[in-house]
Amino acid sequence: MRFIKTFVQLFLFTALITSTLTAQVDRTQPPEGDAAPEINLKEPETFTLKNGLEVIVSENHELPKVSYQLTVDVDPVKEGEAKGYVDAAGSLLRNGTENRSKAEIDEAVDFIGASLNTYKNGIYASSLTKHQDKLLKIVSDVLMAPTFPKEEVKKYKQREISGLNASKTNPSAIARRVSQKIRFEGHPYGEITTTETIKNITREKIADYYNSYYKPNTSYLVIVGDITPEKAKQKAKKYFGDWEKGDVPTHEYDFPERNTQKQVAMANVDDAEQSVISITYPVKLHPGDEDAIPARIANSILGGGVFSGYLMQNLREDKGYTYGARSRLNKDELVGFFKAGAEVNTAVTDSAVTQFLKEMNRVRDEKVSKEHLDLVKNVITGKFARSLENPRTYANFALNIQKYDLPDDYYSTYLKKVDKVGANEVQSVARDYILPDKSTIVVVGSKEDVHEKLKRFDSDGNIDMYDAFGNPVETSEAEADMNAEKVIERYIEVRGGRKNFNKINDMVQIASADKGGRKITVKTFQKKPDLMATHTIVGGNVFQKQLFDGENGKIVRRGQESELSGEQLNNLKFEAKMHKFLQYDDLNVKTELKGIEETKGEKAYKIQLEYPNGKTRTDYFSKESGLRIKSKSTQSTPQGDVTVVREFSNYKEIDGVLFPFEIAISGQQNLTLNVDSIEINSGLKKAKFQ
Amino acid sequence: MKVIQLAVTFLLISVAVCAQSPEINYEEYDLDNGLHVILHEDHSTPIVAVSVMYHVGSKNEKDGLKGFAHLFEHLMFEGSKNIPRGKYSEYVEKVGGTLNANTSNDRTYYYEILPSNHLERGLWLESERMLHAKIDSAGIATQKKVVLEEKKQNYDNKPYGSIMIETMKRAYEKHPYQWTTIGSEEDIRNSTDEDVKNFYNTFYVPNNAVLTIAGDINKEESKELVEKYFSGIPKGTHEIPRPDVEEPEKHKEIRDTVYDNIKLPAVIQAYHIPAMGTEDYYAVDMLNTLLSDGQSSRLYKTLVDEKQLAMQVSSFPYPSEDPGIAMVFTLPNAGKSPKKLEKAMNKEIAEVRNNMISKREMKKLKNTFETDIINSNSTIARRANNLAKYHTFFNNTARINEQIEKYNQVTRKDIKRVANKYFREDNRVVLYYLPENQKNTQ
Repeated sequence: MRFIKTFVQLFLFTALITSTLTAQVDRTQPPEGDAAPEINLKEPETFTLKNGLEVIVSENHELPKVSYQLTVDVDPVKEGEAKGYVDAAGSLLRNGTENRSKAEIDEAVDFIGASLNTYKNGIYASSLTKHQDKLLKIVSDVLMAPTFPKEEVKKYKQREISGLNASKTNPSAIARRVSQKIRFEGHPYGEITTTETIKNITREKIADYYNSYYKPNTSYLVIVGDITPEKAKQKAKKYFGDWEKGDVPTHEYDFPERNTQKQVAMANVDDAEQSVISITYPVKLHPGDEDAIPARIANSILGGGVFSGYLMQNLREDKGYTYGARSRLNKDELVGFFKAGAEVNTAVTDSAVTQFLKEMNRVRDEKVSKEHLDLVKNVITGKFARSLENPRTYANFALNIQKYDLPDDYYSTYLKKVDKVGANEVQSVARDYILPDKSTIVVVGSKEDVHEKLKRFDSDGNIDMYDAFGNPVETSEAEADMNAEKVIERYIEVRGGRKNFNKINDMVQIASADKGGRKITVKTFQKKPDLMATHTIVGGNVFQKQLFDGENGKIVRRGQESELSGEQLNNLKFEAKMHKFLQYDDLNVKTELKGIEETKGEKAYKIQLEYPNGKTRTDYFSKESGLRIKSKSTQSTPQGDVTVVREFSNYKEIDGVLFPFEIAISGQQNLTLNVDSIEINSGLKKAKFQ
Repeated sequence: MKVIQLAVTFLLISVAVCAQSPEINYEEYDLDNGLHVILHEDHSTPIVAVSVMYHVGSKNEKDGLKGFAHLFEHLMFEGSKNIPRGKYSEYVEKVGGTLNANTSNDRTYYYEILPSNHLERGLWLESERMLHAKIDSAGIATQKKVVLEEKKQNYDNKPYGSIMIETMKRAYEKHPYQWTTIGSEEDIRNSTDEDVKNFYNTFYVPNNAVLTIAGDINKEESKELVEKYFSGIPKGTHEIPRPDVEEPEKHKEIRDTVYDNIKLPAVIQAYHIPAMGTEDYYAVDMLNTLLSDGQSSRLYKTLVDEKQLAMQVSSFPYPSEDPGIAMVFTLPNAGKSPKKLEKAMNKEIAEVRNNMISKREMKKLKNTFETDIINSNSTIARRANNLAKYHTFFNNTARINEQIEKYNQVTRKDIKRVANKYFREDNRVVLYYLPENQKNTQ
């Protein structure tokens, strides 16, 4: 009995547990956690070598690897016309020493599976613990005995120029450069590397910089990983102890001038489907400033590193304007900056700017809710905790304390300081650091589509234009002696001349395209003066015919005929006229030269056409070849207006006249028509068009 | 509420410890509904990663729904029966956590990283997503827009952004790898509420998923919580479709030109290679490292340093569940001919086909992979992802600890053999990316 009783009890107990586990799960509320875990901040070891090199060691034996990071902490220099030589000095440090060629260094580093990066004012080297001595020998050599071989400088310059070419059409790279140039105007931070400045770099400039600025007494060495402080000390002495100290020049610069009013700056990217928006200005906010933590919170509320931030919720989750909208408030010893940005659909560029400014004002004007403030503080706290997974974090804390002269307990009391910030303080700091009315709104996108609409954000209504490297560009570039008639006349000439065009009485063009694996063929028949027939053949079957015999027009689809009338017929009557550009005057088509623009990688005259029915189209004629390379018009669709772009290329000669054999169409649908054949004067009969 | 408590410990330990190549501990089991669970305990930081990997990606998409798996991933943040729209991320951030998801050809991965006292919240969130996600039409419409902007930002409006799309389109004629995860604008637009429902009921079921919990956890407590939130989720009733098409073996080079809004051309070669985890895959991976990893690698050394034809070279295999591709990507220096560059690339690749690599190079490759594999497991989040991956694709979680061994088994002969087997001219796609203004002059 006793046994059975126990069994029953046990059974009941089990049954009870099962039911709490399944049937009674309360899913309606998010579970609250129990006591918050404790995190331990480890204090890194720090010491100074005789030559003045400050060393920080963060010990962590989780993984059998160790890294060495050297930072040369010096004032920025003005590089002027040879901008880029400081980067070059950093990069080329590892490209040859008094003891080793570049190839020897590469081979030695790669052989042990290590990495060695040298860059502007710094070195980062890491390897498995067992290989560290081999790596340190190289690090020590590249740091103390680089030779900057002439040949390597030459190669470096060539690669940099190539890299700048590669980023020339990258809208976000352009936005970064233009923003940097404008907000740091006059300060070394505002200098931009271009292909021109790269050309001015010399080996001497590089070596001079290295000789003057790379000194142990202004540098830090951070050692992280599978190493004890004792061992680290030995290694530091052995590999960095012979580095000779010396005086390092110092520099001071004025804080860049700030906008007093809102302004808009643009760089044009033809036909861009998106605009890169970057709202920016310089900021006086140093690491460790009293305002630093509340300002970080204010920026997080707006959109810094928090998905629930105002910007992300409004521009992405509510409006669907963009894949992501964020803001950043950067602290710096000299000049910090604010930046809020997103890549948004071209059509909503101005609406997006409005929302950005609205949310920036909201952080200033509205006291943040307790709920949102708590969320942001918790995000910052959680991020802090997660960052401690990486032993580098402890080292960075110690480095910052030394570099920026912060109190020793700055990081161990960081979260307490975050916790103490209240909504009033956030708002007051936001008013000092979030400055929508003093910002520069940088937009990189299609000038044609967004320029007009952005004018209202600029205090004087004048939008400054910049090129891909942040240099100001003149807005109207059309040459004084050029006009629309001349451009079109030249076009007729290069295609074969009026005489040859006039010989054409009729023509048949067969073109085909691939649409999702299906072949579409379009046969176009034209006869002077205005007879036209178009057959669309899909997968071998005639899908549609459109016919116009000079008077009557109709569409035949699957044997069903429908007569055209009214506006449709009028449009077709106009459309059917052969080679209209020969007779724009007679057809009452107004033409206007709108300027010169870079399109499809070349300069082109932009001609706007206005038809008698009021519709417009823009044609682009290559400045170099005279040929039409692109045409842009607007089509009305049930979903609103769609821009249709046609691109003409691969011109080939038929009977003395050039025809484009490839026509790429984009807009509502994307396809590329390849012309299979063009036949001229085959003697088409009127019946073909009826 | 307090997210974490901060304490400052002055570490005065001077025990000379030396780390070993770490073995990753884990425990795994199945629930009755088919959900696979993996637990990994590590108390070094008070955080926990909760993740679910669903075995569905763009290769499970039907024609006409290209890009849907990725759109669907966005929709999985819209909410559930108990989570109002827009609150999913807020519930994570409120307690100091972070979250995200990503979609590949083969799988979709969701994760939260939370302070470890909020493990239960992470499990609740993921179980809500698996049990009864709720998506309204307004949410679908917004996320379609967001995804189309993502496509523009990362693929269309970015120089060289379309490379994967253009390459895969030509590399595959039968297999769904012929489209990439971002898919087709038209299909994304045209997808319906009904498609959303079907996809959810078919693929987002416990028997098509692995739940991984990694970090500062107590295993027994975790198991109870998993039971609590996941055991009641019904097993899927639909058959889970997997593409069974095999891409035919290639015997003809495909060569083409793409004109893009660029100033500097690019030359791309894509070779068909075996699926990840196969014997040959490891050798192919090492072959790619030999070619382009590090400045002493063969392609970098000859093309960038010695001949100065290129400013940048890279080559890497795409790890995929079905046979994939390895890409060799090079940017010529300004003014250098892409044709000349390709010729030099071909010469280097022929060299690996014709001659055995040196013993020293083999040792170098093994050293490189040892470092890379140790780094690949350096964080809780990475370990969670790797554990889930080895279970999903190989049904063998233990592989996480066998990687160094797998690479160590590859021989010099294997490298030469796979170079001949896969890095053949008639087994590749060659694409030239050229500036648009060269279109007329070609």
